[in-house]
Amino acid sequence: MGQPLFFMASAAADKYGCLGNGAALVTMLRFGSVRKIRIMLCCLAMEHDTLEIKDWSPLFANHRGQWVALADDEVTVLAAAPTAKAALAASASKGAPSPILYRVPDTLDTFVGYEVCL
Amino acid sequence: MKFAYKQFASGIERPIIPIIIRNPVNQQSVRYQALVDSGADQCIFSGEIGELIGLDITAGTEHTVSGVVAGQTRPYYMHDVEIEVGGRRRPATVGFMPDLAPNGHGLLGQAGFFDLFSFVKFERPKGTVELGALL
Repeated sequence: MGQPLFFMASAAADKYGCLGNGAALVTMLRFGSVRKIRIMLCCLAMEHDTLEIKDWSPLFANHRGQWVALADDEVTVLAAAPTAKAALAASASKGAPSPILYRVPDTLDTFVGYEVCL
Repeated sequence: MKFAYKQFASGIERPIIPIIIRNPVNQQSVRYQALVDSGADQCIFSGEIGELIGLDITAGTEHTVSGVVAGQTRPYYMHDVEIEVGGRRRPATVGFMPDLAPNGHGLLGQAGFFDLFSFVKFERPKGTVELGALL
């Protein structure tokens, strides 16, 4: 398998700190196809995207108590409304019919869950 | 499959992840952010989410839930749905709560979420939640 791909894989593994995936890549370089290696590199990149904590402090500051429609980056607010249905409709009207919905808390009280009674 | 924590303020980071909830009857679905909660027995979501996928919320089996402060209980209703995470889908029975607390979150609990994966790993210092293989 090509040396450039090997170096790309090693560099990606080093950069993203994915030692397990790096080992998998080396295995793929020996036995896998170029397509599989490309998929693996894409997965590494996607994983890296999700590794950083998403800053929702602006979301909380600006939309507390509202339903928000978020873009795929989970940070960009496409629409906000008092109800989930309205937020979804507002997002759809802007050309984004499948946003990620989230109800922003009213307050940042300590959250310790609920007790379920069956 | 890893997901990032969400930071609301300094010191307040929560493992909230995007999922898709689908009604298996009509295939209507909605994307939703919910809290991965290892202490929750079940998954409980806002009733509004159930309505968006065409469920008649109160037609489900009724249970009650209470907060950590004694005194108040609220009903929630169980329904069969499909939960999709990271492109992988499984059937699950989850609860929908018409009046989920205004400072609460949709919850991904033991039944219906944790039991779908080989492991659920929290790495608070890194701010990540990792899900193992789908069972």
